[in-house]
Amino acid sequence: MALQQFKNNKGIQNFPPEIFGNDSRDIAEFLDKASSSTKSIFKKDKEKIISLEDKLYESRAYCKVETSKVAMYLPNEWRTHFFRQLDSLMDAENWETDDPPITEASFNTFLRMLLELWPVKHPGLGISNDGNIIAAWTTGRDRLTVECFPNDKVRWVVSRYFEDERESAAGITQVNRLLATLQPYNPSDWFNFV
Amino acid sequence: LSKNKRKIPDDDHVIRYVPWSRLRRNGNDEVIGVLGEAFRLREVDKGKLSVTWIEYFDQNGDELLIQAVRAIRASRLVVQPKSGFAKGNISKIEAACSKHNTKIKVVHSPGPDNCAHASVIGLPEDNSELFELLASEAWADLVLNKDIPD
Repeated sequence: MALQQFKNNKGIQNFPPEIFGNDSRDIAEFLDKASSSTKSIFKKDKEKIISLEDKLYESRAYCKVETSKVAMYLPNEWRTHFFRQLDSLMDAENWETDDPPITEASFNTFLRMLLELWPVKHPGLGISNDGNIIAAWTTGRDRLTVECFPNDKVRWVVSRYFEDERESAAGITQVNRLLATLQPYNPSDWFNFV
Repeated sequence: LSKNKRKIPDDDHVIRYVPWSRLRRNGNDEVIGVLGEAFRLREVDKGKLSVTWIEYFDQNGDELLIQAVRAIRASRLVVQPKSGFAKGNISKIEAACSKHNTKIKVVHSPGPDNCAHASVIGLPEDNSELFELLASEAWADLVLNKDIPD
């Protein structure tokens, strides 16, 4: 939907800097120039990557555009904050040159997870060795970490303390089963807004 | 007395460089620890997790850690500004691994660019619960790069 809006030449108005951050103008111009085959540009350009900054820019742009497609489910404030987190995570100045940025397939799973869990508190973000996005929720000493694989698959690891005794578990499941799988560990403690 | 290739004593400590993307953050993007992923081996690691032995240096207290971080900064590894270093005690790391039926060895393996370099040998390729245990308890002591002087 967002891509269609760009095709209609609405450009930067649809990607305001207060929400999309410093990439706002670049994303708008990039997509504005795109023809009807916008999607394939992402893939074609991938093979021509010449610098780390390009790679990170492309990944950030993909994540933001895909998020904008489900904007109707995510309040502006939530989205703005999330985009800042993405900018911070994939900051070229702090990036390890050997690390891949977030992969498209992993991010698609992440977005689906957000919608499955919605409404959900902002997770802390990280990236695996393979470019999978990692979502981390932490409440005191209790930790939930979810790595998003391609094709709606997620790996979750939970550690909780009951009367100072640590209990942990891990598993791999489909994203639509995540909440049910986490039921024994009171998922609302992590996900719910106060 | 040569320190080469010897097992590091149980009471000693090692630090591991943790890139920005493997630091654990809260929803406000504040660093609160380390992700288990920081201890997952990559193909380039060839089965050995790279660390730096703190007590290699003849210093006391906090100065040990500072020397170890300086050794890493002086090595080929490019230390990024917002990265961190996770510090762990050898016996606690071994005990955590043992809970997951994993026997590891931490040996001094000096390189041309880091004389305090050490290797953790025997970590599994894939055990998320173990990595999480290391990140949350045995190897959870985090210091940020920006907090260590040049």
